[in-house]
Amino acid sequence: MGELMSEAVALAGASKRYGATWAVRDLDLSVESGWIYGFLGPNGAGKSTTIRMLLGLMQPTSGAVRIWGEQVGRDGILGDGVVGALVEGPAFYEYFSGYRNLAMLAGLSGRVRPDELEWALRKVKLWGRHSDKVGTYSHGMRQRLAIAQALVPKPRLLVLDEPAQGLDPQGLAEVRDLLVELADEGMTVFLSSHLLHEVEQICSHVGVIVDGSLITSGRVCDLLASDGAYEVRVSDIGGAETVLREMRLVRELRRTGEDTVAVWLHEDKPEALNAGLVQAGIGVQGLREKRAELEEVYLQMAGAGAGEDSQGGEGP
Amino acid sequence: MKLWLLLRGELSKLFGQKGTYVGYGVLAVLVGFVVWFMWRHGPPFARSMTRSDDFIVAGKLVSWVSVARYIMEPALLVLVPLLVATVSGGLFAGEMVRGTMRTLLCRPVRRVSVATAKYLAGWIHAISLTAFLGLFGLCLGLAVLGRGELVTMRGGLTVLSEQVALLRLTEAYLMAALAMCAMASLATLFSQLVENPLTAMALAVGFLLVSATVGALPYFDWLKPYLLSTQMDDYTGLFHAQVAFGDLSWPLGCMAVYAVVPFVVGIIIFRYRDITC
Repeated sequence: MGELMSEAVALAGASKRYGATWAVRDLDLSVESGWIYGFLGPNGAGKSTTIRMLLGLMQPTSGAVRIWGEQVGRDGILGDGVVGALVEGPAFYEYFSGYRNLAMLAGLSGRVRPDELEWALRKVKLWGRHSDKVGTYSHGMRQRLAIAQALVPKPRLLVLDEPAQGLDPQGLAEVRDLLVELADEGMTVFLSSHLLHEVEQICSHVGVIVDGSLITSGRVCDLLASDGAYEVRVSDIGGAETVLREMRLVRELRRTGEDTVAVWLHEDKPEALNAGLVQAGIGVQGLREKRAELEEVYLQMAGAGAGEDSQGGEGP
Repeated sequence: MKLWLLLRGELSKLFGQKGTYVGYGVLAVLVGFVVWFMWRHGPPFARSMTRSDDFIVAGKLVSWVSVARYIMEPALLVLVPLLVATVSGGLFAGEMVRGTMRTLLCRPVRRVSVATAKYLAGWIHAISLTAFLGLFGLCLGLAVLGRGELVTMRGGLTVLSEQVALLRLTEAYLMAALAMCAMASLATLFSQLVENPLTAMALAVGFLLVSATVGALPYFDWLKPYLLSTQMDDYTGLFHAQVAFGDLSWPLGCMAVYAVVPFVVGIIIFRYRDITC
C-alpha cells in the first residue's frame, strides 16, 4: 500500500499541548512524494514539535500524523528503511568511532552492508576520519555524521531538522547538492532550516509555521512569483524618477537603492519603460523582473502570522 | 531479533566506556586489601573468629573461600549497590542528556524493546560486578592464601569443608546478584524519571539507605520484611551448618519483586513518554 501512496507526509488537525500552552494547533500539512519541503518558522513556532510528532517521538494531543499513509505511533517509526531522520543536532556516543556509531544505529533499521555505510560516509566527506572517535570530531563533522546516519539504510523519506547547522560554506554547498541529488533519485525530503537562502535554492515547496499554526504552504516559485514589478538601474536616479512619474504606463515606483528603482506597470511592457527612459536621456544600465526573495516573503508572513495569532507556539 | 541487537548495543555502550571499569577496579582494590589483611594477620584473624585458643580446629581456616565469604558484607551492603546505581542511573538519563535517545528512537525500534534492553543491560552489569567480586576474591585468595575450609560464627562455630563452602558461596552470590539486580532496576527506573544520571544514582542509593534506616527503627518492625535492605544480607543464612532453604523463599521473592516491578513500571512509563530531549 505504502508504495502506491503519493502523499509522503500528512498531518491532519495535529495538535500538541503542554499544560495550557499549545505548541502546535490544528496543523494540516501535506507533503507529496518527491518534494523537497522546507519547513520554516521562527524559534518556538512549533517546528521541532511537529518534527517530533512526525517521527513518533511525541504523541499529538489530538489529530493524526501519517507517513506514506500509515499512522505514526509512539512505538517506533514504521518499517525498516522508511524514514531517516536528524532531529535537533547531532547526538552520538563519543567513545565510539564514527563508523561504529553509524553501524550500530543503521543496524537497527535492518541489515546494512558495509558498502552502504561507506557510501554514506563518503557522501558527507567523512570517509578517512570514520575510524576516529566521535569525541574528536568538530561540530561540523558531527553534523555530517548525523546526516550520514539518516541516510543508511537509504530511506524513502528524509526528515532533517536544521541540517546546515554548524557547517562551513563548503559543507553547506555539499549538503545542498546531496539533497538535490537524493531528491532526483526519488527521495522525499522534509527539512526545517533558518537558512532561507539555502531553502530557496533547494526546496520545491515550503510551509511557514508561526505560533503553532501553518500560515502558508505551497510551491517556492509561486511564493516568490513576481507581482509585475521591474527593477531598473539608471545613471541618474533623480531624473529617472521624474521621467517615470510622468509615464502613463507606470502604476507605482519605489527607490530601492542608490541607483535602482522598482517600478510597477499597468501593462507588462518593460520595453516601453526602457524606451521612455532612454528617450528622456537617462542611461539604463539594467532592467530585470523583480522577484521577491524568500526572506522577504517569510518575514512578511511570519510577522503577519505572529500579529494575528499569539495563542501558542512555545515548546517545552 | 531487534531486542538482541538493542541488547548488544547497550552492552557495547556500557562496556565501551572506561568509567564502567572503575567499579571493577574499586572492587579489585578492596579484595586485594582483604587478602593482604588475611595473609598478614592470618592466625590472629582465625583466633579472633574462634574467640579463644581453646578450640582445636583441624584444617586451614584462612583460605580462598574465607576471602570470598568475608568480602561479602563490606562490599555488598553499600559499595556494590553504589557502583551498580552509578551505571544503571545513567542508562536512560545519560542518553537523554546526550540526546542519543532521540537518535535511537528515530530508528524503527519498539520502545518496549529499547527499555527492556536497557534493564537487561543493567542486570547483566549488576550480575557481572557481583560475580567479579566473588571470583576475583577466590582467585586472589587461592594465589595468596591457598585452599582450605571456611569458618563462620553464625549460629555458633561452623566449619564448612571446602567443597560445601564453594557450593554455599555460589548460592550466596546468586542471592546477592538478585539483590544487585533489584538495585539496578530501581536505579534504572529513577534514571527514567530524572534528567541527570547523578540524581538517579543518588535517588537509588538514597532509597536503599532510607530503607535501611526505617528498618532499624522499632516502630517500623511491621515494614521490615518488605524492605529491600532487610533482604539484601539474608544470604548469610546459607553459611549456617544447617540451611533452612524454606526461609530463603521470602527474601528471594521480595528481591525478585524489587527487580521486576520497577522494570514493568519503567516499560509503561517509557512506552507513553514524550521524548523532549
